[in-house]
Amino acid sequence: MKKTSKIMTLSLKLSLAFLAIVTLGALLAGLSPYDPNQVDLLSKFQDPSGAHWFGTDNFGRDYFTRILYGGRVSLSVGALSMLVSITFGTLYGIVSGSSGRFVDAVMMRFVDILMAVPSFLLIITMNVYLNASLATTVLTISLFSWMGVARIVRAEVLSLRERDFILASRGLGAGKGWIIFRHMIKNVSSSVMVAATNSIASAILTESSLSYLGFGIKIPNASWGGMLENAQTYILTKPILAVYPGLCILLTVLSFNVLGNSLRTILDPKSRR
Amino acid sequence: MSLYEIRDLSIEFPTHLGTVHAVRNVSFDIGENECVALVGESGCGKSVTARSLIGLTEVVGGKVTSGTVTFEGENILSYNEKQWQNYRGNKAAIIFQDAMTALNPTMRIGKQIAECFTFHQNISRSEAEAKAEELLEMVGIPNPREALRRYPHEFSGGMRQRVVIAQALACRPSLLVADEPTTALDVTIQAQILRLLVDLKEKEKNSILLITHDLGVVAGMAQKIVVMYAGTIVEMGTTDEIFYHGRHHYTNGLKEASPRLDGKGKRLHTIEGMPPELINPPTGCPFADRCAHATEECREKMPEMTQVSPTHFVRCLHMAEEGGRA
Repeated sequence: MKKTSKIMTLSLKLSLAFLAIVTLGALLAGLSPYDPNQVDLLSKFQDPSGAHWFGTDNFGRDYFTRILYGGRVSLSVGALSMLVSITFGTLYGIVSGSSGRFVDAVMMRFVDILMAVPSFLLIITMNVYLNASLATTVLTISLFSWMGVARIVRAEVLSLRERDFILASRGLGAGKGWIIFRHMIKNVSSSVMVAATNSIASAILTESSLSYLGFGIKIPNASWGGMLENAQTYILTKPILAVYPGLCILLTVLSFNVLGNSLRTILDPKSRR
Repeated sequence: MSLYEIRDLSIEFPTHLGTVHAVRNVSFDIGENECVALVGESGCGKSVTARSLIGLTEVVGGKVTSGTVTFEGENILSYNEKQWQNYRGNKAAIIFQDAMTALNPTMRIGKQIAECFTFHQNISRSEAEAKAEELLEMVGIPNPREALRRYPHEFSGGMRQRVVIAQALACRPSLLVADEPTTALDVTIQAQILRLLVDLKEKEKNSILLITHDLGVVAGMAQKIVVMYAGTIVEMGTTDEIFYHGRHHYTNGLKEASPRLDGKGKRLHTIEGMPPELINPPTGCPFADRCAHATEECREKMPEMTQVSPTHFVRCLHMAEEGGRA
């Protein structure tokens, strides 16, 4: 017990540190002396050096700068689609859980249907037609990722509304809106926080896959998925080009998952020592 | 003139197995500044009856099928949701059995007490806070100013029940429904909480409807006792009448089943059998199957309420002799 929690604290610390670095890098990307899209054919395929920390790619663009800008894309897509899907999912779950049986059943079957749809194909199709940009990517990703949150929230609301303190508040004259906004939201927030963290991870993964397939962020703008796709051509001659974006995706997603898991353990009253 | 007049109240719960007739033709009054105790074993309909006075029957899945509850000249059972919201907390409030779950664990208690003011009174936040502090002081919470900022888990069970009482009394309701307020507490704290309820009743001039299955709790507090069995009232009267001149065999069985300090060494009396199920309640006296004095007549027809004194009513064909504990 003690040993696992020690490992957990360590991995949580490492994850937080890594996420802090990536976030800081994404925020401060503008300080880099290079333009991420500036082609410089004279200095292509350079090895890492003092001037180019991660070297340059096949167009001579500074790879470190591109990683920073790519991180900006990944993090903002992750955070924004998390916000959209969490907000919508929470509201949907609360409405479903606090409505009558029939409305609840209809709303939940709709969730089941959306969950059964192979979302990735649909996201690609929509991105093709919607003229992909950051906003549309966020929208299409969150369109198919709010259902899990809705389910969690609905289940919590169903159990919450039978609790004495909800009844007590009604007994003092509380209306439905008050119950939802003053009593329910805060009580579901811990589960929602865990779901939110995990949803950032999956949104980043989806965005990277989209960009890798060329349906996400448009080239020449940098994104980790797009850089990975670009590096694929030179995988035999210059494998390091694939390693940087690949590692970034891997570590970021991993860190968010570790964070989500730790949050779950920390926020769960039953698992506290 | 009584504060509440409950007449012919019937409440049903639709379930998969059939309709549960939880409360059948219940009539009684609650006077001003009076403490009425509703006594009976689990599942006899006492909580359901009491909750209907707060309009929480529908919320817990039941349905009032007949009867009226007159309060200030109005039948409150015909209220719509808006009127109920205005009435709850303002005119009548309820405190629940388990103070551990009756407070929102994620909200500071100051805010929870002030809730009532936001619903019914148009006062500023600082005024509400000052009033909440007064209430906490009134129910005997030490350091009320600091306590406002605390969360429920920082209080013990007895303290939480005090907070719940403060919350219920915030808008000075005329009726306080106390649904087994001390069942979850240990005996010494029980006495303190009951004392508090009595003191506050004298101070605030409110009435109390006390629900309990513990006759000991009732004795020191109530002016009037209503004994319920299987959804009906079997006997009601003043506390003295019920305790010393109980005429219904169920009432007397209940009294004998309470442990006594002077009955050392004797086996505690029990009432054999189980109460009838309320999906198909018996047509006759519901207690007939467990009653030593029952005859064929008892099983056939529900006995009428018989008045044995101006305040004492019994629903029994073969009443126990006058003279108290059998």
